[in-house]
Amino acid sequence: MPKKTFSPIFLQIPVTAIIWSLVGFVLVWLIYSFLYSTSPGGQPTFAALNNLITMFSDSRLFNAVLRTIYYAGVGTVIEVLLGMLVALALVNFISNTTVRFVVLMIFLTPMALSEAIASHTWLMLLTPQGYLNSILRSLGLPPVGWLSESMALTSLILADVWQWTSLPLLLIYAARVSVPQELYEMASLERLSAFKTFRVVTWPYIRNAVVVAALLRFIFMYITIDKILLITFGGPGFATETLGYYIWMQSFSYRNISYAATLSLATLIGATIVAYIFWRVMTRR
Amino acid sequence: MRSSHILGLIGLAIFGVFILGPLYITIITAIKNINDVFTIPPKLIPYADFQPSSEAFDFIFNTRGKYTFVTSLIVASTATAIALIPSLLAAYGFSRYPKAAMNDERSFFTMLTLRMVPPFAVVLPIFLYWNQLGLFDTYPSLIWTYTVFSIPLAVWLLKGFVDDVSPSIEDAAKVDGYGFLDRLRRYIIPILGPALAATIALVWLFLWNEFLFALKLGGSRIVTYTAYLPQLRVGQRVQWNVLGAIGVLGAIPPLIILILFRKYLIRVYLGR
Amino acid sequence: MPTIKLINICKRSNGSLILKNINLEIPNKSLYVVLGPPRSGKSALGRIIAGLDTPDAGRILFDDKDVTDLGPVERNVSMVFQDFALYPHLTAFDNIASPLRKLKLPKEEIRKRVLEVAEYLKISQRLTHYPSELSGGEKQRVAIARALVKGAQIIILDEPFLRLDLKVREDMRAELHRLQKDVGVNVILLSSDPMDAMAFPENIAFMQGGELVQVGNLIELYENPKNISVARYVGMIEMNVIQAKIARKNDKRILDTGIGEITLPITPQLSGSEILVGIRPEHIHIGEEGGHPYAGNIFTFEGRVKISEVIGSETIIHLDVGLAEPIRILIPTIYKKNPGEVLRATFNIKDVYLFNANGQFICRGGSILG
Repeated sequence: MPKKTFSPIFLQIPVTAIIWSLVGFVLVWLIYSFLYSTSPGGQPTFAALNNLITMFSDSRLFNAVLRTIYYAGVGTVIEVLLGMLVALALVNFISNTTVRFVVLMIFLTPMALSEAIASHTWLMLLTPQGYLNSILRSLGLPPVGWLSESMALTSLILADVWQWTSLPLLLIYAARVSVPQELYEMASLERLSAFKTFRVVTWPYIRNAVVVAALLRFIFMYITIDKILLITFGGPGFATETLGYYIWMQSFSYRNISYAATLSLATLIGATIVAYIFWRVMTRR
Repeated sequence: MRSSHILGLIGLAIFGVFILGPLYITIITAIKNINDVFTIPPKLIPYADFQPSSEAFDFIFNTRGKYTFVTSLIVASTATAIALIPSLLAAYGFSRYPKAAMNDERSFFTMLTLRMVPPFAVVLPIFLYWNQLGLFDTYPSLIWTYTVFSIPLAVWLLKGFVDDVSPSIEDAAKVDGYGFLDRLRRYIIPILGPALAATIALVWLFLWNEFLFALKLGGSRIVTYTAYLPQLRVGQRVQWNVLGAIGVLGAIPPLIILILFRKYLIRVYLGR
Repeated sequence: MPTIKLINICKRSNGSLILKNINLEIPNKSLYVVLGPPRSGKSALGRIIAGLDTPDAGRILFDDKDVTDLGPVERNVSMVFQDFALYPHLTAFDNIASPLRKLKLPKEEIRKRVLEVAEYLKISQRLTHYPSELSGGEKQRVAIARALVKGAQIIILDEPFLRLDLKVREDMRAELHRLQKDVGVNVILLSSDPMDAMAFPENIAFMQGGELVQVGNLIELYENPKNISVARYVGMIEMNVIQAKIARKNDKRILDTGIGEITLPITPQLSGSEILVGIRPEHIHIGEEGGHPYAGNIFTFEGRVKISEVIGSETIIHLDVGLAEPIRILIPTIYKKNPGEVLRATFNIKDVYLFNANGQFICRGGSILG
């Protein structure tokens, strides 16, 4: 084919230019601010070592990371399990595909909404004078401190479960629907128990969807701080301070620019590793 | 079998109540008078427990509230429009030339990483960047930031769609004598048709729903509906019903897109 | 129409050679079949002849004019693809008109030509339909019409019949014959189906592993295949191949096949210790010597029927004879046998194909026996 002046590289230049117009600065700034700290009106001083020492001895950071793992971990497990249960229940208990479709669409609604909207919806429920407590009190039950120090994180997980269980639900449902019906007929002919049927027929087909859904949810749960920003503000105390919220505080409340950059850089490195894991899982299929 | 069937349906119904409950709550809050919002016992049924009121919606339409939706619309639409053609070209490259430089798996992975970057780790430098350029609280800063962050999703979706178009169609067009731009215009884009529409819709939705950058890069002039929400909680009396109303209005485009493009939703996560 | 010469064509893909030094001459106005198993390089060769890809080495000449650096339009080549590659968003009419639109011909001219070609391929009635509404055969005809309409001198068809029903395939083969006769274009058929070679027996090139193994007509490939691959491929049903050991006995060569011995006079061709004996299913006969068309030189063996398939008016029997593979026998009539039944089978040693241990053809049994 003549005309070798066309190179596929040209196809990538526009997106690369757009992305790097911002990302380039971001990376350079983060690295520079990690290395050097400038006090207002002063000269840049070498700060890398201090930053690292602070980071590794920062117990608040350590707790934030633990909290993040707990939040994302518990949230992911609940969302994937619940999503799987609902997906399988949808297929098993609703045979009319139109009805099933409508019900599925209803279940998918929360995930189409903005985190901001979902946060305020749950704020209405969780706030001390909000709907959940109103309902409890009108039934004669004592109100619950949904946003108290002991319960806030759990409430956030509840809100996230409400919004995002539909993602694993969608992925697992699609996988479940792709299983050839004959396999289930064979299983019932061989009189396999429900559990056995699940393990032998269903699971091999949905396993990938489960893994992908879990990875996606875990990643997006530690990335997103919208609900924390809007419902609990990291509190009460540090009860809902995840890694992301802590960096937010360092960036905009405490204005420790150099340290914030350090933490951001560390988080980015971690995020790249996680993205790599996700990539390997996706391309293995 | 029958009893487990009933149990299963009950379980599904409970989940349905769990999902629909908060949505219902938001809707009724939106049509309440502020005094009816939090009462004991809670007023849950319109006309029976409380008189529906247009107070919240009136507030939105009589104040700057309505402009926040316009802002969101402008920002999301412009960014999507800018990102579209470059993303299509890049997706084409990734799909048809997977061995070429900058089009291979590693480059695709790099783009994927951008999708999984925690916004909180980059919002400070981005904020400072635009501030330095004197573009804080202006349309260009938010739009351009959105353009950058929508590219990975757009390319991710489009690559899957281009993959689905048989390469022999392009061979046939080559044999018919059409060059690259002609092929793109006459054959690839029309064949992609609905897929292209879905990509636009899903990327737009992602931007319509975005909160973090809108919060930090906007100020007093550039306020998206998502950034507007926390502003309604300032002061003694939180305007719960307005919060609900904004939620209802802000949810309309997502629901429309969810219904129209439901077939393509799963590609956002799986790529195909 | 032109004579096509391929000179030392090489092509790499992903680092390995998929076309190794191809030298081929395709006569003008011919119907040429390039036959070979999947991944033999046929498609790559087709794309290079069409001008969709450039070879990494070598040149292509049309009537002694070097076209190596020209594209499909400059070469005036058309191609019909395996999956038809019809534009799904255009009607059949617009699909066919596509190459003409590029040439910016006036609308009436385009219309005239499209209708002409559609008439010739008998799809005038379907022109307003979209590809998704057409049957496999109709899609094929539209694809061919699109290839014809610009007046190309060479039409390359890449596995065109793969997705068609058997009956439709026969119809299309007849169409290709008609086409080639009426219009006089070069038709190059890339195929992995031996039936195509049998339908177009005059010019066949057999490819395997990126190499041109043998070129000739059907008789040549059938009677004197260059190696085992050609022998197995060209034939109604795959040839039976048995490994045998060569031994000396008195002044004869004995080929010990495991199901019997073949005795042959000593010739220099039968050297070495191992040999491959091939016998085509259509050359094996059921029953005793008496029913055999020849006399003498008969090899007899026995086995149990494993499978017996009746196809049309013929029967294929897979006979389990204790070797690694069952022996396939093609019987020209309907002959029902039940699995497990014992059968006697015979063939004439003259019909045997002898190959050395590397798979290269030595000779037919007949040439040794005389």
